[in-house]
Amino acid sequence: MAVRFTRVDLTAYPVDAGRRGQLHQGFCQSGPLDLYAFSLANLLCGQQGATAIEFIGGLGVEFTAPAVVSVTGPAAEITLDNQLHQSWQSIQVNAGQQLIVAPARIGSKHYLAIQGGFEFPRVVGSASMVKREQLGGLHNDGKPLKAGDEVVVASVASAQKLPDALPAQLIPDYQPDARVGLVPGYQHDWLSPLQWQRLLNSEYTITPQVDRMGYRLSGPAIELPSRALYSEAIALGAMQIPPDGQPIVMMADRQTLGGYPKAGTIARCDLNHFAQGIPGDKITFYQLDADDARAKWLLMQAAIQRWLSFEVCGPGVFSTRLS
Amino acid sequence: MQPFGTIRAVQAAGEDGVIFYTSGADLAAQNQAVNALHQALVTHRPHWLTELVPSYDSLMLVFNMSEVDYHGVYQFVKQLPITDTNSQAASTLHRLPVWYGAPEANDLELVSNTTGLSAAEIIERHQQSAYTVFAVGFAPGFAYLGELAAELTTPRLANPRQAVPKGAVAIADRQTAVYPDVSPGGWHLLGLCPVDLYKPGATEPTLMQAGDKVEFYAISEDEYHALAQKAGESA
Repeated sequence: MAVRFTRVDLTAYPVDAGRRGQLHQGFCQSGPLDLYAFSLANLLCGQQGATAIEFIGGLGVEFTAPAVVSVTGPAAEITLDNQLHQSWQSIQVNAGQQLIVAPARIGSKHYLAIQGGFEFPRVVGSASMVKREQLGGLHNDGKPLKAGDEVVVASVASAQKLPDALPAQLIPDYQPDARVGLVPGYQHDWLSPLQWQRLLNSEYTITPQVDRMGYRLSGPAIELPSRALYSEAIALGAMQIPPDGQPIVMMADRQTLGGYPKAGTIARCDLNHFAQGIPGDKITFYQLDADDARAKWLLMQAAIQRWLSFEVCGPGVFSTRLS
Repeated sequence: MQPFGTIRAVQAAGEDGVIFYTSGADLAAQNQAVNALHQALVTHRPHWLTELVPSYDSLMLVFNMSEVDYHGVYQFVKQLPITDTNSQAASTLHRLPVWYGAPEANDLELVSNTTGLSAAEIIERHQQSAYTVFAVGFAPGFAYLGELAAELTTPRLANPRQAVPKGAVAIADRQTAVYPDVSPGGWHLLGLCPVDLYKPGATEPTLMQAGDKVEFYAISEDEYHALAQKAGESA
């Protein structure tokens, strides 16, 4: 079967779990900005890590055959042939029906998953599109979807089991203003205690300079001693402090190496909330040491596991199958 | 996390990452220590290891948080038998042809103004060293090569180019590189290399790995076009 994209108001492109084990070759990690919403969208379709669509702004999709889909992300109005539906649940779709998603806020990231998964060219082990590297996408040129594009959906074995309804506590509370954990690391000891306190006690605003590589923030400048630093690997969520002292948080499509000092990284348990920020949103940070950040992440995984009642593991990649 | 052996510092790189910084008399020695650690981890690859990203004087290790924590990673690396390979035999040597002074990639005059060397001297000096791949990053297949002869040291361009041509051979500070594809860039350009450093879709999409050695040799414009055509046909 295939689906036809009838409306792409801003942008839409394929994402999967990303390019794994390729950072050392210079390929960026890629994949979903909100890994939690992406993972749950797939789980709601009874699968793990299948290629889904990440989109910003309105999206319209027409189906040529019956399908099971789900839409996750912050608040959005979802209609199937003018019938209202909820996000964060499995939706049964009939042939010929049209699904329209209208996000409440421009700039939030949403995920459309379909049972079987969307079929896109895979490059270096992933179907995730990276504009900068001209990789992935329908024509493998790093270009997003356009209205009128048709995408094939992989066929599924019959009678694929769907999970129970998602418990409310597993639906993220995407408040516009986020308080996010910062795991000290890298050059954090270049920050004097005063600068560290300034970072933790100040409010930062997401600037218009946000993209899949990184989010620039503005607020009280963090002053660092000027020291030599060779380019080094940039972890997901790393907070760079460039010479102007305004933090940049490095996201899924970040370059693999960089030479700016880093104060730490955004804790994985809060990165999805942070990723949903749009220009103007306020961010505050709290210190979360690596052990505590890992514990919070493991608790999140355990909660998902209880919902599915089977073993789940891996950093956002779930190792067992539903069937 | 305390230093040990050739590791001068260890820091968290997120709750699922650790970055190891190496010691050494100079950058080459520090980078050699990175390679030795990288090799040891590739040889004794633990099941929880998901990414290894070497760079000039550091190596980031990313792990699966549901199987291990950073304490476990630190202990594992600390007891790892790290043998300083230090043998040239272990690393691949790439000999890359360059059409120096190709019109699309020619900042020889600017480099001449900075260094006080003639164009011929710059081209000669650039071919004299065997460079080490200190790191691969920035873009797929982009290899940072060092160290450039001290007299070729150049700052970055005041106004970076929007589009450096594919195959451009460039220098900045005491580094040199070949741009694998068209990209923005702030390095000074010396010429064009017809060898594909990045082949999208190939089983081995990138030519160079950290620790490899690279030498450059001059070719004529005609040789460049012949080699570029051959590369195009095999792609």
